Amino acid sequence: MIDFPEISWASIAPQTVILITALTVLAIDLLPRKIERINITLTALLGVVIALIFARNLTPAYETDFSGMIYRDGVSIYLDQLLLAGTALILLMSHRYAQFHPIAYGEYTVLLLFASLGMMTISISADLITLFIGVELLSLSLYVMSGMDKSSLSSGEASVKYFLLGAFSTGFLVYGMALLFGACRTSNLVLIGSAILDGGAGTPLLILGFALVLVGLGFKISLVPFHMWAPDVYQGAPTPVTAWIAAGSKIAGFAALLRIFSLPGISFEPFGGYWAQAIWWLSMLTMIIGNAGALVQNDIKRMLAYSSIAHGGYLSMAFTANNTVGLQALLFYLAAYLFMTLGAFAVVIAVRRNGRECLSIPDLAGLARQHPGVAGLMAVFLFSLAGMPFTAGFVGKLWLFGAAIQEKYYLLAAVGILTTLLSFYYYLRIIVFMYMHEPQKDAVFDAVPASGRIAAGLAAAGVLALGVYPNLLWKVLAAHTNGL
Amino acid sequence: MIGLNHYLLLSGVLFCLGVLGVILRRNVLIILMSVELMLNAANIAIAAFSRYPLFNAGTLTQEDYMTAGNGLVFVFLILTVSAAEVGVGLAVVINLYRQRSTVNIEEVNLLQG
Repeated sequence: MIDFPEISWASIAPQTVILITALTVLAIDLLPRKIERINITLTALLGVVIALIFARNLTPAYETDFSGMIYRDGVSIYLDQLLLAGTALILLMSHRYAQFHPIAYGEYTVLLLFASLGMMTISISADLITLFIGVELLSLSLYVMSGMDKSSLSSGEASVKYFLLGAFSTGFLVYGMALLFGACRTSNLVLIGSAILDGGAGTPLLILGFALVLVGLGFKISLVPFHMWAPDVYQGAPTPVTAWIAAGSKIAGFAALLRIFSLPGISFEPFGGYWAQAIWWLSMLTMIIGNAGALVQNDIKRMLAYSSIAHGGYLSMAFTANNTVGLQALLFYLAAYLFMTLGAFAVVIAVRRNGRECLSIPDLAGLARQHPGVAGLMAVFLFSLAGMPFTAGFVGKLWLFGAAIQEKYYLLAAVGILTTLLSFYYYLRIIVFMYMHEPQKDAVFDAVPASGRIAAGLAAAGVLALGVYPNLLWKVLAAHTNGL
Repeated sequence: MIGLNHYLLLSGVLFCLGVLGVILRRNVLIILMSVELMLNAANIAIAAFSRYPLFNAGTLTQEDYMTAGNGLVFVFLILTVSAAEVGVGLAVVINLYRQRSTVNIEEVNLLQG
């Protein structure tokens, strides 16, 4: 008779609910009768809301579960909630988008839920195996989703480019994991942590392993010099998919970095020495090249791609700073980044002109005349991305730069501040077009639907609430990061 | 006698061949094969590491068996996932071929800026 280990199913309740929802949507999509899009959206939203309720009611446990496979600490509970909120917003946006573009909506929704499940698997993983499965579940779903618009040549091209570079980076990630396994003789992150602290691990293997893992994950979160795929994929993929690549997969990538480079349950700073230095360079290059690239873009999705690369640079500053403030700032900025990025994409999806998407920046000229509300929301998101006071982006950047200064990385913080100033140019350029330019000839903006207003409104509420009352989240983060 | 280092050398060489293949070849299908080579190089390394204690021919402890099981499960899951990756990859490539009638990555250049 085999003894089964103690398992607490409650700790993976949100993941289980999302899995069941995805399978349910898959089943109803297979029914012979045609299912209305609204029913698919509502089923998926219901599942996401139930998962969110489960996630809110979890209590953090600072030990591994499922025989060392998962680690349900405060950080993972927090990240699960963020990812679920993001999934709900993406569902609202996709509902509208599918009205105008020939994507198979049932399958699309299933893949979206699987991608979210992959991200949530990363956030709870305590083992290289779990982490790898999460990364692949997320990536494989997103490869297919970005090629889902079969009528569009650029969508097909985006999925090929995303797949090839994504699979290439997976190769580095897996080889890095193989070397880590060899160096520590276990795939469990907690045991790897204690092996490193005991000094009982073979050093060259370990360093090479961590470096390869960093390269692999650097592709996923598009750190310079591993960012080449991002602008093309962001531009070509269907817009809601772009939004989820920008927000969701970046949060998941940072969750993976956090899991591997902070060693759950031990500390946030076991490798102070060399990792801080390597990530310092990546962070510096990413901020400079990301912001410089965004300056010359005329396509909104391409501009947001470079903007998201640049934000990856700010976020990775936390890994250089390597202190508790840095960890809290990282978690706060991930929430801010989620709301402002998704909000900006929600507006891009909601606003259509003469029945077409407005994808170049001059297309938005005169938007404020015809739709003052939507233009106002877009302005809020752009100000927050730029880092204007009273928005979430400002508080998050301040906190991140503060963490870097605390550890005496003055140059890094200075470059952060200078590139932030530079970024005002390209964000404000859109606002100038929306408010100060005459609409182009014959341009009539279509009515903005309720789903778009709700998605953008919720995101704006998040951005402003975090900007004006950062204490809301500050206290939660302080409580969650205590166990580290 | 063949030991751990030989397996690691083989896996390192295969990995480098995979990386070179991805960088140098222009045919999407060949690139896909090269990526598989990289993943299988990792598999060889993990399998070799998990049998590492056997090379030392000493007495095996409980921990050695744990490591062996752990590594083999890891290999098994990487194999499964890489099969799924090929499935998705071929679908993506077929979609490309239907749209453009080419699988040469140099001719896929609509998105630039």
